[in-house]
Amino acid sequence: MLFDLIASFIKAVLVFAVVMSFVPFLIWLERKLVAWMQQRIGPNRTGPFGLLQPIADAVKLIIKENIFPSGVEKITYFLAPMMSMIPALAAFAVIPFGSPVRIMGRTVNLQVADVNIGILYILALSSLAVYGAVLAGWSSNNKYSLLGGLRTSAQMISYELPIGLSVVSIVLLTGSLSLNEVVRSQASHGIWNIFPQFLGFIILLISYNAELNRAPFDLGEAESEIVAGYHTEYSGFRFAMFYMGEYVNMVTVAALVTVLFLGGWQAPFGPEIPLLWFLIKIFAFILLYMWVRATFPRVRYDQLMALGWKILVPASLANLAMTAVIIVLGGPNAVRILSVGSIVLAVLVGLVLKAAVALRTKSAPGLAPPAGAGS
Amino acid sequence: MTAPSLQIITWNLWVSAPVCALAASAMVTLIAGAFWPAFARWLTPCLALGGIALTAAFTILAGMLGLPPAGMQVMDSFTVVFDLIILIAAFITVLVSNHYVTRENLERGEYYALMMLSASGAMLMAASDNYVMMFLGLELLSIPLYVLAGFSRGRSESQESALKYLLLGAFASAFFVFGAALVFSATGSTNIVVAGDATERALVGTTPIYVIGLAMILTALAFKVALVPFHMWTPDVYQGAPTSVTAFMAVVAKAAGFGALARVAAAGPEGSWTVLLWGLSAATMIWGNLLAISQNNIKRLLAYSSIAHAGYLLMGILAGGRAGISAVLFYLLAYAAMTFGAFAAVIILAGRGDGAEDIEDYRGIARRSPLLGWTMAIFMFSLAGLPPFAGFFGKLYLFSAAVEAGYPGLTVLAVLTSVMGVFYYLRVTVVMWMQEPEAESGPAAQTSAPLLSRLVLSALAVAVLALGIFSSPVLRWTNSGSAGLERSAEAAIQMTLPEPTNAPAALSGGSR
Amino acid sequence: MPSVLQLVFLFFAAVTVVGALAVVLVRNLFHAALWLAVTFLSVASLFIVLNADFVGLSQVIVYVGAISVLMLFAIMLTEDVVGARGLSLRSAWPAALPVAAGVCVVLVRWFARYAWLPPQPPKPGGTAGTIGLAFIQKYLFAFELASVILLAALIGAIYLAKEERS
Repeated sequence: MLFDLIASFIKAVLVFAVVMSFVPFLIWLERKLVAWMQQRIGPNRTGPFGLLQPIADAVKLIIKENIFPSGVEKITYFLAPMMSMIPALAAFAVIPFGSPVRIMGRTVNLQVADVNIGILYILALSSLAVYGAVLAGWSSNNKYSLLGGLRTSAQMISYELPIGLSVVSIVLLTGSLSLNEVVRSQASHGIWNIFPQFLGFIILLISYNAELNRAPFDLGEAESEIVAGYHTEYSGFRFAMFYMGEYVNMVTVAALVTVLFLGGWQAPFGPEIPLLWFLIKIFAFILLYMWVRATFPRVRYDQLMALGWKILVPASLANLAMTAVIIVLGGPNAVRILSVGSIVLAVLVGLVLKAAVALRTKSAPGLAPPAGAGS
Repeated sequence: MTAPSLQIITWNLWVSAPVCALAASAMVTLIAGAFWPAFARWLTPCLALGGIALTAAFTILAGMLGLPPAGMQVMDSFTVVFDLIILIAAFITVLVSNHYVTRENLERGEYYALMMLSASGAMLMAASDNYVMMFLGLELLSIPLYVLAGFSRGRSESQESALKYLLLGAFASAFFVFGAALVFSATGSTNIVVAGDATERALVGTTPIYVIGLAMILTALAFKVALVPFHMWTPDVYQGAPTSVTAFMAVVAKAAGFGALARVAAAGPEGSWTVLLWGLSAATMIWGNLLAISQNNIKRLLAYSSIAHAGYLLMGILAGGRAGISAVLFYLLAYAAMTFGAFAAVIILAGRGDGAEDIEDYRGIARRSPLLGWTMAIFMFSLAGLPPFAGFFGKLYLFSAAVEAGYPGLTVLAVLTSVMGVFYYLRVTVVMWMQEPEAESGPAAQTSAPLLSRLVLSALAVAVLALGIFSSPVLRWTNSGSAGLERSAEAAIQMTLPEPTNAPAALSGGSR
Repeated sequence: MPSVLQLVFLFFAAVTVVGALAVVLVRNLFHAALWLAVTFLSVASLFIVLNADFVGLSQVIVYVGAISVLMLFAIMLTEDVVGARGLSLRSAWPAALPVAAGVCVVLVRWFARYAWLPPQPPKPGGTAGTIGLAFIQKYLFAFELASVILLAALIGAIYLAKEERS
């Protein structure tokens, strides 16, 4: 009992420390990466390759004066940054980052808490993350903040649906809500979930990009439209918390996608080295998100909503239906049949999309008309 | 990955077949209206009528199979009789609606689809032997009704009506859930009969919690059927809602509430339950009739009259037993015919945009249109309870059942208030027949109507007359329904005797 | 001496009651909605304390994560409400208070006397599997019916909110 308690405590502190120390590095990485992609140099003054730049920024932000702009609602204004960071950190608690190891004759899960409904727990926490934006948007007494809060809340609620539906397909395949079980089932199937759930993987990637409020879906903080959205009025340490929340969220999401689709800590080839493969996979996803951010222009708000409700939700429903039917009818071969079916379905969805876009551009040359505006 | 089996249907699907058929028909109607809007005008009502007829066939078939209760529903003869009453009402609604929705530009697939969904909720309420299923039925009945009340979006009265109905209805639903939770916590069962039986045999020492729970459920149902003092919403909602929806509400929602009340009453609650029902019934009869006298708007008048009729109907529930429930069923049928008739006439008379809804607008209308004059007179006489129309015999059976069950005082009150009712119902007839039309007073009432409306109006008048003259075969039919209710209540107790609670204890996992 | 679990339960029960009271008493509509979210969250915690983990987390996802946020969203969209600070049902107090207090006293009195069952020990595999099977086997019809109800609400909401095509 005491051993477990101490082990949990140590694991929690370690995970917290590691995830938090990722943040400055990721900020540096993103700035550098985006700079290269845009043929700039990026931070290069502070430390080697500008590596100390995020530390300097953090120090600057922390020692800045904490300002309550006039007319803000103090309590909610104060709570908002925390509400955006805490769920992201807490969600990491159920993510397994390695196969169980033996320490002092006991088996220790490399996971802060092995909750047997871990998937549900993550979904619950990510549904709480929206409160940060809502509270900040409303309490700031600023119309841009309000607009940003409105946009973010609508966006996050809309994209929770395809996320939930895609995750349910994984649950069907696993037969359990435990993330540990998800990893183990991928080992026993002999194939990572990305193949039998290819469409689900694509949907989840896109939806989590929107859930993270990152470009090209960063409508809630679109600087060319609404200054900085819901955190317009924030500065100093509170602003830093929003910023950190975003990056912690990115780490959590990358870890979750790794566990759900890429076999968690398992090695694709070679020996299974603890943590190594897990970290590699996480960084692959993070780099993917940074690449997407540097590549795509920001979408319009109605396009965002149309993408979510008219494409991702129906596609994830189709994926769920296909998964359920094949699991029941396919018997022992279900996973193999799914691997083919999922890719076929993904191609089908892509073709339908392409046809729809072609049809729309044909009917109205130039920019496609806003979906919401009735003709 | 465990290999899941397809063996998931563990109960007989026929028990739910009628509701499934109606809900599925509603979907078909909705989709047809959405994909072929050009044909929506005649296609959707035809599909709705077909779906209702199909459901009726399913109901009769399922009733003949003699199924045991399953899936929290009972398919006994009470359900069959009740479902058929609801389906007849829905059928008439579609026919009555046709003229109205065409005139008011409301012809959409959603209208009929929502109405059919609402009717399937009403069927469920009467078919459920479980508070959980009854609640689902209540919601399925109510939610489409909230929307239908606001269906003419252009009119602010319609919006107001929908909002009022939604807010108060949601409040009432909350009462139902809280009550059901209390009943469950007191008895360990959500089955209506088993919960009542457990309390009776003092299996658990918490009768007061059961009684409070039951009172809360009664509150919710009293709201649905508009019993005083839970009737405040009725006149406003009835007045603002589109007239065809008002007719549907007045008949189907009320019938559904009484079906549920009959199921709850069959579980045999006693003591404070009868006192409560007595008081509610008396208050409803007096207050509804009193306020109806002073109404000038015909829809408000009919709203108060529907409140008064709820009071009479509650007498039948209070009397209980075969005679009482049978009288309730008969009265519901008669009430459906005459109420639909009155509303069908109002739909024609009010004209485009519901301009002429004051009784004074109908002066001398009978001279211009004898059909409207005669049929309206028949409906009003029947509502007032004058022989030889259906309303008279309905009241006769109700009152005699109440006297036999030992409530002479309430019956005397009912007779007195019925006499009060004669006054305001006859006033409508007098205005229509005996007063001179004034050219420039208010918006003119319309008398022209399509052939279908006139046919429906005449058919309803004939039905009111026929139900009065040939009341005994109909009563035999409703008797079979009330007998079925008693039988299944007894069967439910028999079935659960060795095992006092069939609560889904495995479900809650924690607190009982 | 109450156990740790009982203390936790009491804490969340207290938060639930305080939150629910605040929903009614707070004058600012936005704050009321936030307090509602707090109440939902502590109810979810109560479920989890009682070993109903699936119900608890579903409560968080549905009520805190979706319903409360939609309420906040609607409040933020409603121009007049954002500025309004004086929303309270003051006139209804004298009537509502005795009724609420009466119901409360009666319920508490009878609940205190009842010999409630102690919470059951946690199921080894969690409650999710049991609930899932119950939904598609014993309660399949009720489960599907709930989706029909939601569909009806969806149709209605779309009809009422849709822009009129000319």
